[in-house]
Amino acid sequence: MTEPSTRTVVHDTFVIDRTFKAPPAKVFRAFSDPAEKWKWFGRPPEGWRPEVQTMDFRIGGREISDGGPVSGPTILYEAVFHDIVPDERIITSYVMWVAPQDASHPLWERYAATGDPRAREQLILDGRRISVSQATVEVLPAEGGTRLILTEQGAYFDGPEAAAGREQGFADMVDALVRSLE
Amino acid sequence: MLQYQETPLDLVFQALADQTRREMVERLSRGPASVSELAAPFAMSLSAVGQHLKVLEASGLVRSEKHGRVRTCRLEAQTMRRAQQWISLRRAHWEQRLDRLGEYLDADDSNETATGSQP
Repeated sequence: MTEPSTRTVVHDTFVIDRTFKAPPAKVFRAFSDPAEKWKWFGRPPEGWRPEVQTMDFRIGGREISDGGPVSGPTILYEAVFHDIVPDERIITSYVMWVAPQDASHPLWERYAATGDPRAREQLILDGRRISVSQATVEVLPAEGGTRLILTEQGAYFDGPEAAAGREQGFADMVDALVRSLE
Repeated sequence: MLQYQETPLDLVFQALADQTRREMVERLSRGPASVSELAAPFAMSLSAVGQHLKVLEASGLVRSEKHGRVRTCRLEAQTMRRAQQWISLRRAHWEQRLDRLGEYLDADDSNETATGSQP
């Protein structure tokens, strides 16, 4: 029997709910001011490379945050800000790609050193679009601080390269990513 | 450690809680099948089989596609597993980032709580 298309999409939503002691305006600034955001968002976990990040915080503006494990694949992230309510809410949609290059690959090294958009384009071409998501950050006053609710609604892709034998490579990449966080 | 997202797994468990659906999954584990092939071993109407199929599809375990007049079903367990890994990774990433946000806010707070400002 001929195999039908192996393209699939899985939808999922997850919510993370945290409370911080800082006031809402300060928590919001940690997301909206690039210099402040860099201090926490830009700090990679152990074993991960310093990220290449840019942020244009306004409606229609873009955010790029590219990195990945040192000895694993490159993860590229590109978001657009769709809704901004100062001190209250930020809504973005974003695309993610996974590319095979690790931190010592010349293409990544060139991109990390120069931010060359052509190097980024090449990483995207070599990689695979893995998900398209919407992220909502709600900043709410709470007893003694701020409640932050992050809601991610995603469409996660799978399968298009199966026939070309790239599927296993992709599974290996995801496995490597998961291991790097354990 | 990573936690798999609960909702889809709940749906998977719900789907597999039923003997008929377990047998359908077992059949599909040997390869794709049409709805009538899938229904053949069971003494039930095609529409009842369709209902079971719907539950299996909602769980992400099974996917079906219509080619002409034939609906072909196939197992998607691997897809589900891989997508789940990626979702778990996204979530773990955010949990870690928000840990760092907490540290950053706490560190910064020590400089600023002197003003005594509370929301």
